[in-house]
Amino acid sequence: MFSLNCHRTILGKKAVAICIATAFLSTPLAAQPFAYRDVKLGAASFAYISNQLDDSVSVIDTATGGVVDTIAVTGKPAGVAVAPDGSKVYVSTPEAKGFAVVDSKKREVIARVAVNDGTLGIAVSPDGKRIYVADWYKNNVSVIDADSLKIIRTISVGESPSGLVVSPDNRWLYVANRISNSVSQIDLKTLTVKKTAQVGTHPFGLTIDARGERIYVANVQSDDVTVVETARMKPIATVKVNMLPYATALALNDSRLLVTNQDDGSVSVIDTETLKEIALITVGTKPEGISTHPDDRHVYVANWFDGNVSVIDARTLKVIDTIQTGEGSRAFGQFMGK
Amino acid sequence: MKKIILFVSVVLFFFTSIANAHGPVRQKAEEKITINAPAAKVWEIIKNYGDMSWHPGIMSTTVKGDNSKGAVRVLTLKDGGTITEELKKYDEAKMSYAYKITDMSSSKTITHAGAEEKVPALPVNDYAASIELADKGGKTDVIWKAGYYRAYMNNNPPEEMNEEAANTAVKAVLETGLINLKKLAEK
Repeated sequence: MFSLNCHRTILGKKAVAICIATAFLSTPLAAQPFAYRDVKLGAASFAYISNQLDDSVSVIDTATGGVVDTIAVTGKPAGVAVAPDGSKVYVSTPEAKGFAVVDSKKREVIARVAVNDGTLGIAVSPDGKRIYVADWYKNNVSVIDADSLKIIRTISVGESPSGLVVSPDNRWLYVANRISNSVSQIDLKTLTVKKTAQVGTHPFGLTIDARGERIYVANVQSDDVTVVETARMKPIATVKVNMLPYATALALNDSRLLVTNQDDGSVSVIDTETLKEIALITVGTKPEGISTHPDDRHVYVANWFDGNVSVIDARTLKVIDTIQTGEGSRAFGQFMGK
Repeated sequence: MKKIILFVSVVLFFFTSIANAHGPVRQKAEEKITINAPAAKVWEIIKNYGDMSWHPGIMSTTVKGDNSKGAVRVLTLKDGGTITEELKKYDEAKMSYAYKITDMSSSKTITHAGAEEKVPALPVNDYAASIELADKGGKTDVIWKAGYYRAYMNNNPPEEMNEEAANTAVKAVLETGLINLKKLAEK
């Protein structure tokens, strides 16, 4: 395993680059073990991909690029949120009217929580203490205690709440309201909506930068991304992307925003400084969920139609691997874990 | 009073059916056929978005626009039903295009859960499809893919509008189309 040798002998960035170059030259891409992905992290990292039509979650070991396990999760699993310490994975199951708690060591469902009829968007707080679940039908977000798995509060938001993201300082929860064309900002101290920003048409997936200053929300109907400044909760830019942008992820110190274009089978790459699209990367058919590896460089995209995952190198802007998962891979949410 | 209740429930129903647009689980279909003819020949038959005469289920096609994004075609089916589709992507070099259903006539009206439901000509909702050719050195693979929801977007669908009805109907459309395309191209 040459890549592991690389791993041990790395001294600086140059060495990393050499390892990668060697890796590309020596073996065909598809068979490539991507151990170098963990160069910075130095620990195992897994991607949890919900396969909605298979009632399962595929566990990808990002060090080898292979699926190491498939966990049965009934109820048409859709949304995914991984606890910050990686110990648990929360999977929304709309047809089971709630979500499943997966133990990532045992790799099995250890609890099921009934919430509501239309659970889709799901997120977990940065301290791992709370789980947030959006309900598509009831137009609210439930706040759940991660230890007791009891609902603490249910907060009314806009119509058909979809994507959820918590600010890195654990102070705010942002909710994309698909039908209301807005993003709600929920104060996590008082558990009330503080402000609401109007965005593009039918916002769905969203992400936040490391400083908690900007959120990027994909608008499925208007084919663009709204950039919202969180301090004032005002849109500061609208960036045109491709057909049916679904979800967003940041990479390379928040300098690049990657957006899945569901109907185009592509990922738009936006420079977050100039707020211009700088690349369009072809992935699989109907890309949906997107998350960035802890190395901040490799971005994983679930292709719903193809039942696989494309791995993008945000630096070279190329797809470096395609991993077979299961039927109807959605992985809506932050699906990458330690 | 009864009238008011009825009115309110109709209004509520109307709102729920919009809000639930992505409630049910999306379905997929994929059909592939290998044709013993060069890709260029097969492409010639299907390349005009405004001409779907190669499909045996379709009586006539009218189109607004050419083979580029935004063109809208109306397919008239053998039974008189219509399906309106918008071209979303067209790639001459890759010999592929993608489109979406934007409107349909209804084939019949049924009563379900106390409400009248119009069953669309193709019992699906939010239907997007793509067709692509792959040159296999003298032979051609034709791949036709579709993603869609069942026609009934609320809970507990009637059998005319459930997942099974949608999947059966879509599979039939793709299959019969590809079989006929093979026949035409291998002539």
